[in-house]
Amino acid sequence: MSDIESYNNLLQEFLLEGVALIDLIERGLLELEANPDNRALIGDVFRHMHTVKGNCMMLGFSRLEAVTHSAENVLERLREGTIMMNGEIGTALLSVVDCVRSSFKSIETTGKEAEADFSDQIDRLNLIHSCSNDEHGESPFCKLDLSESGQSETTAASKFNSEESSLNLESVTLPMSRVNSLMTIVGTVLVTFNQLRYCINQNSGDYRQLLDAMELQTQDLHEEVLKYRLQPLGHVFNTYHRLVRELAAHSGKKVYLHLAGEKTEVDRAVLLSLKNILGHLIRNSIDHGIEAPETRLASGKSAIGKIELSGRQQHGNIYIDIKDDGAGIDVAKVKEKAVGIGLVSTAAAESMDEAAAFNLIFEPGFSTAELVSNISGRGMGMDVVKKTIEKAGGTLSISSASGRGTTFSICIPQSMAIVPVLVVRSMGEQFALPQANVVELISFYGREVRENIEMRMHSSAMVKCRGRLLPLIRLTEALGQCGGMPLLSKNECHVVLLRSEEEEFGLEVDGAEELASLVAKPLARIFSDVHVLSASAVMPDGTVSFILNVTEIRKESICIDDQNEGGL
Amino acid sequence: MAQQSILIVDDSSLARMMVRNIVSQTFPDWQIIEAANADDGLAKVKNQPVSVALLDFNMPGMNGIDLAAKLLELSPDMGIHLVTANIQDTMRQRAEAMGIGFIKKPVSKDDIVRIMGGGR
Repeated sequence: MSDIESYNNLLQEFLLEGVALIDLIERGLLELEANPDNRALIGDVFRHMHTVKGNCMMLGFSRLEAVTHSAENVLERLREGTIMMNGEIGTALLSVVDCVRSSFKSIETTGKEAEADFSDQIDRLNLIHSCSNDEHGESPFCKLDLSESGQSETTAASKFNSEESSLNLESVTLPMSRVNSLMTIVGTVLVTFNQLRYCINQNSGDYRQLLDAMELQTQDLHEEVLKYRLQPLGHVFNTYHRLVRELAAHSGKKVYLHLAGEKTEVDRAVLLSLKNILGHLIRNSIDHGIEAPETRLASGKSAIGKIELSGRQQHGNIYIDIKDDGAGIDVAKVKEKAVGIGLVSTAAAESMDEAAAFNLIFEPGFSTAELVSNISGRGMGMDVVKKTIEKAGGTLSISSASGRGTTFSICIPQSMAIVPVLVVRSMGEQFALPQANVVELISFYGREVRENIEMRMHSSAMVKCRGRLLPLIRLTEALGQCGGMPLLSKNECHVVLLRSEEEEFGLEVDGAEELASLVAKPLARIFSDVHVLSASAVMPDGTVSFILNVTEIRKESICIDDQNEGGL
Repeated sequence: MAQQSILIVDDSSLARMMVRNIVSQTFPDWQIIEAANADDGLAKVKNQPVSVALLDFNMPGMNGIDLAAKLLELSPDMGIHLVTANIQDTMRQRAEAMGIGFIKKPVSKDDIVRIMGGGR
């Protein structure tokens, strides 16, 4: 086959494929104008444009390449969701379709692309493209600055922040329509406020009704603003490709990072607090989980280790799994090390089941930050990882099968800004329990107290509840408050039934006050070692108090019981 | 010596044609296997040892990186190269973490000689 002949064949293939693709692009764009949210279709149109561009480049049609490249850039923004399809964008992209078609005609007849340089189309596309990342651009979008002065940044000392800026968690782009709907809600709040003021000043009308209306409107406002704070997990997930590459290169291992559920949205504060934690868990998987390629091949595995990072949302919680197909956790080795460093006695280690042994990994001192590398900075211990997640109201669990791999599972509230709570009293002070943990409220009066509460050894108590016997923890003891009356001599006893990590227990309080939604503020640093507190908040009566961490209350009380037993 | 083969996976028929032309001119002994998407590619190499694979990144269905992972599971020794017009950092990092090579589109004769030159 001669060169000319072969070139003509290529040209023919180019036109055949190009015309078909341009038809598909046109049809897709028209459908997108009616259905701008069809993500799959946006993806298809993007890919077709990408192929057209690649083909133009391969055959050296540089003017066509330039215009399709600009179109591809805009389509990429659409695919990412940073801009939304609208009439203006649709028109700009359809004009590209026309340009490309007419140039194809010219190629078909003359073998050369049209002389036109498409600069008008390119300028228009570039303007749309630049508006999406330029906050001063005249675009139908506005930007909100969401920077919060160092609350999550202090959580972990890590240098893996170099990409913080590229993460762009500090600002969000909003379509004008969303800002308008915000304005509408604020408008209704103002109207209600005026009515309320009139009602109170003139002492006429029903102010309760207005208060109820205002509560609903404030909730609307809250939900609307919350939406702006939500960011897809993918923003953080995608930064780990770099980390994985560096770690793989450094260790001589081969690693395939697979992402799933990147579109799952979480509050940006949660996202920031997860960033270092996930980085550490991935590091851990590559350092300790994934084996060297030769080892993997010898044990019949693919030379490439696989790490799956997946996220999903359910009932206001975000679930994230970090799953590797590495060597898994060697229970015997874990026990050996725990005994070696004095975490548990040999006898205790022997009687431990697998799940309990895995949890040793989270004990302070078990995994120290011994590895300092130039890649991700000083790693944190696994205990710090777990503590950080629990501080944010989440949980971390682990499962592993020898030879088959390890999975770390994180469950964390989607948003921690506003928490529905039950306000309770203890020794004259108010505390808040997250409603997510509350199962029910039970009150005992007079004889009922002795009938339903049993004292066990070491002053631990049990409460009868619908035929079950559950551990009963006193809030005064959990908080270290002194001077409470002995349980059984009480004339009335109020128990909040709580659930944490699939286990239920009773919490004895002096009284339950009301349900409320509180704005959670991060704890002052002096409280950072008080694990039973998860956040501070302004209570409905204007005083400042704490939202309690139910998981920690249960755990700390178990610790106290264990110590008491050890003392015998 | 058994005949060596190269797998070309690209959803653009033009792109496949160009690579095929270069390979058939430079290494006429090699068997060329073509596929328009990842699933097709996987099916075609199931019972057929392949020493070199050139994969497009942007394809309908599975992308080139995910396909590479599957291919390496089938045969760890395959020399895999991702062929793409614009290389994003993330894509490069993912490929490098897996030990995969890169070729910028359009594929040149030099590229082909470099990756197929020594057999593999």
